[in-house]
Amino acid sequence: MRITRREFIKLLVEGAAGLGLLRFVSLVPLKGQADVVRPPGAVVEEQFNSLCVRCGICLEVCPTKAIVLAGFDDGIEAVDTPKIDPLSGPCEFFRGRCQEVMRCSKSCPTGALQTIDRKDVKLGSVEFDPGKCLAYKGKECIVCDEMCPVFEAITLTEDLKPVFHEEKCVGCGTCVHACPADPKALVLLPKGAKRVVW
Amino acid sequence: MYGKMKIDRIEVLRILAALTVIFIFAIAPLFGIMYGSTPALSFGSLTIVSPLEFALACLGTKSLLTNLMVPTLIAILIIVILGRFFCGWICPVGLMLEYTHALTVRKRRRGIGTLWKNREKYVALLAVLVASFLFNFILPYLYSPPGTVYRSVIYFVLYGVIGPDLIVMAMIFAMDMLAVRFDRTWCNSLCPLGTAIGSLSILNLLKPKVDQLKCVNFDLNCLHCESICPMRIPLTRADHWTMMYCNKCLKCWINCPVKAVKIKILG
Repeated sequence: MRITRREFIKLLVEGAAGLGLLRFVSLVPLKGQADVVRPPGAVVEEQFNSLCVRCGICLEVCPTKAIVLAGFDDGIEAVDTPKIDPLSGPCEFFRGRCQEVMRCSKSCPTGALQTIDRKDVKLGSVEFDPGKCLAYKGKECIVCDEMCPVFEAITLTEDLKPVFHEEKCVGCGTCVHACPADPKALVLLPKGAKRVVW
Repeated sequence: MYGKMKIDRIEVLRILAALTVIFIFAIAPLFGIMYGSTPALSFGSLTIVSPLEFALACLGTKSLLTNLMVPTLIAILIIVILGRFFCGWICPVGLMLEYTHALTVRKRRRGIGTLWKNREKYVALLAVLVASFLFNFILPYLYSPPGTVYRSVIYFVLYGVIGPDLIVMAMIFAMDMLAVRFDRTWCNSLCPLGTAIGSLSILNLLKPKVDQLKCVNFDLNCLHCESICPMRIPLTRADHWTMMYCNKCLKCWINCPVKAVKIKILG
């Protein structure tokens, strides 16, 4: 096989580009399972990364801007997949603008987000840090309890301090979005999330 | 004739077409008309899914996704009829590469159709398919530069930031610097999406055909059409299979000095 100088240079550049790409990939952390909160109706994580075609339809239809794209810090398999970020907006599938239809699940073209019953959805649960909470610091604040759409997921003690019940929390992130403390006393985690088995 | 390239009226039309598509993809979701971009497009009840993304999703989940069959078939039907029209008229990255080259090049290359022995593109396509099958790999999606550009623009319109695609956009711009020297080498010998589209373009309307009676190649060694073709198709001796990678830019048709290139609308 004869190789002209032009082809040789082309091969060199392609090889260098390929090596650069491999180096770039090896720098990004590889995780077995992405540690992110998925929108309602998401299938199990292994299938989700393959099924999602990264079209971005779910975040376009979201009325509350609760869905953002997962970044490189969430693992390279999960880049550009949708995740719920309560700092951007609350997921109002339980009560609010998406109560009738879960728009992201309904408009997903591939079935990575499946339309399931509202009662079966659990996106994750909220982790509460009393050290950052305004009520535990002696101020009057019951915002999370007032905003929470779920009955008895957040209860108040006699002296108006919030108590969280993880088993009843649906993980919508409304309380995280509403929390006035800085830094926020609440974090939404995918712990205990119910995913659709595909 | 081989001086600095001038930009024709039809090429302004191509740039405008690409920009219009970006604008539509960015603005339409705000009014609820159309959602998504090249990987999957949702227009009312009509859904279109890119065949490469369909193949990757099937391989990734190791199953046949029956709910995606009809949306993919619609896309395949469009591709069978129009071929790589997308690459020439809609894909913003391809146009960016082409005009980076056109506006910076000093010496025009002469008559080299290198597409004959060009097999890297099938290797690249096979690599992303195998990677999807083995690792549930994300890289195939980053490998589709137009999808990344559209997603970044949509994300910027919605949230005011570019998001995780920033790194990929930086890679695309780095690739753009290579285009000063290599023109559309990415498109015609590496891009998996382009190869997938090209392999499916069976009917391939609007392709150029050289009228051998009018062509002055044999007398004057002209080959202007081949030197100007961004996809490096050896036009004067191209067969059906080579012509599958034509992106319908119509440059050969406009620039032929003796008007020997005809665009075949049917057949």
